[in-house]
Amino acid sequence: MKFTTTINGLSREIDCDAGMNLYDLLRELGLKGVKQGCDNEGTCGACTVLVDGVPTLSCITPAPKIAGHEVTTIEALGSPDKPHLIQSEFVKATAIQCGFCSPGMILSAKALLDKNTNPTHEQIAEALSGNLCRCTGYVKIFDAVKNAAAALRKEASNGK
Amino acid sequence: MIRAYHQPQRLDDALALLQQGGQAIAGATGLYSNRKKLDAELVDITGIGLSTIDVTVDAIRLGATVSLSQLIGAQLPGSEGAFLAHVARHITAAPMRNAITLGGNIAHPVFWADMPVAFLALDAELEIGHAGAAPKKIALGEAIKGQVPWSNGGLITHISVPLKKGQALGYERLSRTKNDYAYATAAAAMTLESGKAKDVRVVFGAIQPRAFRATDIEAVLEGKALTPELIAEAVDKAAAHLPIAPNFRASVDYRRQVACTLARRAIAQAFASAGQE
Repeated sequence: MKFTTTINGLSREIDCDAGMNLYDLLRELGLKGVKQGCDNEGTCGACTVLVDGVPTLSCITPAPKIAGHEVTTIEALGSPDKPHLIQSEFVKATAIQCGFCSPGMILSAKALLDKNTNPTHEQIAEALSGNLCRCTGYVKIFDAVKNAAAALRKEASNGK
Repeated sequence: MIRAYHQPQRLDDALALLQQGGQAIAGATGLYSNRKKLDAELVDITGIGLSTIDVTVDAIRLGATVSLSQLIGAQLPGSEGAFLAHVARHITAAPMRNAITLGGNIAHPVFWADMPVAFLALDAELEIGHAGAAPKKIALGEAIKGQVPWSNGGLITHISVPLKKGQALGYERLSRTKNDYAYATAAAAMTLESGKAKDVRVVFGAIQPRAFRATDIEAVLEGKALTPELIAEAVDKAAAHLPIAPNFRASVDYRRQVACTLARRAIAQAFASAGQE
């Protein structure tokens, strides 16, 4: 089936099977930052993308649902040469070990910080509740999100 | 395989597609884990205007595609509004709550579903749409007995929760982690009249394919001033006959004890909060 959508700021004409999920579509488009950690059950969060800024599990989202909407994947945030502030803070805090959960974790953090640059520990826990990490034990991930929030607040107070 | 994915923009168009054999889909959280087995034309109902919440003096009317996140953020009135948000907050994790819809949580028959337990305790009423027919209203408790009215082209369009003055509520669930599926759940609703429990409703979830009311427990408690002893007596009397469907999570005997403990707590919680009003 055919539809129009916006992925990472670019308008795209999509032609896909009616039963395709967003995860498979994004991988087919070469956006391999989405990972599959569970069996299309939405339980691990590694496939998280933002749809109109809302954390969305691409493995359980029918691809046609993004028609007319805006999808943001990890590829839009930054590059190794020019990482996004949240990505830099994840690296600085060593919040990345195997890296499998990182794209989803960072996008969930971005959705939170876009709305609230001074989140409580509980609000971070709530925002990341759908993202499993089997390496870090979460402590450093929480540190990274708190540090990113502080950096964003500093940026705002500097009027950048 | 999924043969077609329809995205109607009007309720009438959706109902016509459902009557032609289409299957309704909203949050789609259960769709892909079963994809290989599915042979259907899907009708996505999230674009037909059913994501609204209307509050009147005597009811909260929720559209079938209102998501759990939307429900939690809506700041709905009364003990009923707080209760719905409280129950919804326990369900899985944040991105799933962005997808799961209220209608889907009722229509998609999973034994661990929390919202049907809450809605049954709240005496909720469903509105069912059918192509070419006037919408029908049916109590949730009636709708889930036997053949459900949203089969054969029917669609849950709205869920109405009556706002009852002074209604007190309790909800208890046990799961391995906060957002895991429950071993058992129990809910209780009542009002207080001269210190006595009135309109008592006790509901169990996650122990049968669908939530159900424990009318035998309700009958013992109705019209009485509740004490821990009376609550224990009512629940213990029903315990032996409580139907527990076996599952892989724990033994039937264990889940029977869990369900009864949760029921005692939910009833006591409701009665205590009724006393504070």
